[in-house]
Amino acid sequence: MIQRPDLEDFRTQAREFFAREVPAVLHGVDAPVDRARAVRGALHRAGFSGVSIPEYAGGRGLSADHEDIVTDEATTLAVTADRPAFLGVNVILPALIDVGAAELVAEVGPRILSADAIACQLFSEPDAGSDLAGVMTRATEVDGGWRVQGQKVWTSYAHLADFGLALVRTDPEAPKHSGLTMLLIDMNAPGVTVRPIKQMTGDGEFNEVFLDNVFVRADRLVGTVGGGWKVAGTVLGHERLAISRSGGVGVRNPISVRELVDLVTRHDTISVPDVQSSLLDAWMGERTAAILSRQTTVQARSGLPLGPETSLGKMHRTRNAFRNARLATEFGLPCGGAWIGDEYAGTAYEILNSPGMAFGGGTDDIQRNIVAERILGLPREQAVDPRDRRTAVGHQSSSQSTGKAGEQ
Amino acid sequence: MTTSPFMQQTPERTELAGAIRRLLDQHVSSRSEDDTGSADGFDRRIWQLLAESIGVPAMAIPEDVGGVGFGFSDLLPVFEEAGRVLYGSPLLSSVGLATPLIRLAADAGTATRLLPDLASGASTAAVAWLENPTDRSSRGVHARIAGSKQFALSGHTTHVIDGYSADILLVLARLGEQTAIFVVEGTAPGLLRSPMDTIDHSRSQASLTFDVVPAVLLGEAQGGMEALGRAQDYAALALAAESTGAARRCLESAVEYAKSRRQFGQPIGAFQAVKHRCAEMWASVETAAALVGEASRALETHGVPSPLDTTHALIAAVDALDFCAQESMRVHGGISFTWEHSAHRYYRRARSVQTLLGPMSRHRERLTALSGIHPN
Repeated sequence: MIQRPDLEDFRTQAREFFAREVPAVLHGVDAPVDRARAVRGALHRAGFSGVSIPEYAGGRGLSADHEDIVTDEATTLAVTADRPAFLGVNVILPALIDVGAAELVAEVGPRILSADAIACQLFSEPDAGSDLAGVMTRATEVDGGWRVQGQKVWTSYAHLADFGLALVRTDPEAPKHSGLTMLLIDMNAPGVTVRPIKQMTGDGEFNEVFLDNVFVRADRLVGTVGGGWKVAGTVLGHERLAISRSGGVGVRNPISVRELVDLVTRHDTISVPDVQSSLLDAWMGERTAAILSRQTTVQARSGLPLGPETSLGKMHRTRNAFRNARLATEFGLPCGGAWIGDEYAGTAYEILNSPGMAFGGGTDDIQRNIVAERILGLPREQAVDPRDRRTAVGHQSSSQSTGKAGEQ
Repeated sequence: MTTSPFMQQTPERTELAGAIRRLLDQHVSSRSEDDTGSADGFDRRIWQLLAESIGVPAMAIPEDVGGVGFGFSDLLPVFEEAGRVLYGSPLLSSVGLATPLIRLAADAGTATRLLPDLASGASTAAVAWLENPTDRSSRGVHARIAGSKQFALSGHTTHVIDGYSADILLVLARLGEQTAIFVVEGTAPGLLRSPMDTIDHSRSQASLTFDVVPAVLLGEAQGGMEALGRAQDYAALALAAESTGAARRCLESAVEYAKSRRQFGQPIGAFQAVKHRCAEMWASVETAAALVGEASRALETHGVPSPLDTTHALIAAVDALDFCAQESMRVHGGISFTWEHSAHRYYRRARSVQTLLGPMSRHRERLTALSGIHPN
């Protein structure tokens, strides 16, 4: 937590806002998109949306410390309701700014920051998951823009979205990584079909997105034609930063040690040595992840690029998620995971939600590839995809398919 | 050499680590035979070089008693480098444990008598802090009054790290109902020192038998145990850094081998089964490094080691060394089971540090209490 006297007024205002305004604007609002618009709209009006985003993009143009204060003070109620807007505000808009898409930013920035528009990320495809650079969705240049044909998958909140940042192939003849381009697609345009995917929790946060001859205006180009892979890297960097900055909130998180201790206390099993030992493992895992995430944030703040070592935090989070879900079951669910009434439904939901952390931002095995190839300098596995072989002369690596931001 | 993105060292410490590494790489052998070469258990020439050319033992000793007056955190890169090559030396016993104990517990006269020689490297000190818990016949060491401020120690103690070679011994002994710390000269009459057999040949331990050995109190009799507890936190942090360095060397060795060894027509490091093993080793090393870094910053902030940060760092570093020592053997295959190969030396070190400052189960118990997850 940042403590600076000159920022204490700002902190007090933020705290007041989250305590009073947020419950008020959410009262009686049910639909997820309405809740996101209500809370993000209120944040925007109060000057707490896009705090460190430049003013031309609709933000406040304040410091990163101000941004951290809002993150610190945000309540679970606000964060949960804001989830559909999270990616647009914290990942897509900052990436558009970095890429230098100034006119586009001026147009869409204020809409994203007020949740007037929800943004999603159209990266993964059925045949391009871990191997993201293998996306096949085609964009063909036509008069005044592009026509896009293809299919995307695992797109969080596509069913609510107005914009979709899409990684598409503009040159099928070029080497794999250099035939890609980034476009901002209007999700309300003719030809866009969104089909929800029911998750193992029963929720429907992800979608399949079908793009059938969708027209995209020329001014929706993000970066350069053929420069899509670079933009994807910028987006992923912002995603890592957003996840580390949000710390305990904003994204899917492992079941916390505090919750585990509550479960143990409720069932009065703390005196069992094995329970204590398991809790200690969970406590060390949570503390390690927190320390690594703070160091990542410090590094990003000092302007150093976020490199492959951010995979370490992700590896810990995945381990924590699976371990803590197992422990929550052990400590908190009745015999065989069966119950009457709704006392255990919340715990069961969190247990079932935990595996999602293993995939968002790239699977563990992809993280290990990244570490082994880019940090330790181990050789790539021999490519069997002829398009990969063509790029082997450059310095592209299979491990640069680092997983996808909006898919967790 | 892999970099450590999570240590975030100052340029001065990075430079120090580089100087230590050059010196140790030049002089320390990785051959198994050389571990057991001398009865002292370490090479005094290298110790003198570390003391004279870099001033290692002086670093965390105040200037008015012959030191340089840096903080203990400044020593952690030295421990990491020493661990990297398994440099057996009084670094842990004398610089990591005995020196903090003297600074915490000694009266001004004793500190002035002992610290300048420790700072210059002219002498080393060891701490006899443990009675062999498995030896039921051992009744420990007892002190009786032998004159004005003079005592005589009798009894037996074991597991004194570098106790065979130390010039000064700080001995835990019973004095009536109290347990106090006494200073004994290594050459004192009635003191019999024998090296113990050790699983880790790169670090020497000794058993000490006292037969009416002259001794003086280190400081006040009653504060001794508390000071020893705090000194052990310094040693735990040093051991964490040292073990992180040893684990990092296992990682580097495995990665080097995975790049050069070819099977099935390609380097074995290209296979995910091998590269993922290496990636997990890296993760354990960097986790330990991050936690040692955190404990180091806590020490700088508070002026003393934080028990919580230090214990967590020690557990993570010992785990990292355990994991990396065995995973490195797996990457190397059968060659790592030979006497000639250095892998077993790291495996031996891993086994030793598990219990060197008490078993890990006790450190985990302590961290459970410190973490607050157990309300009792």
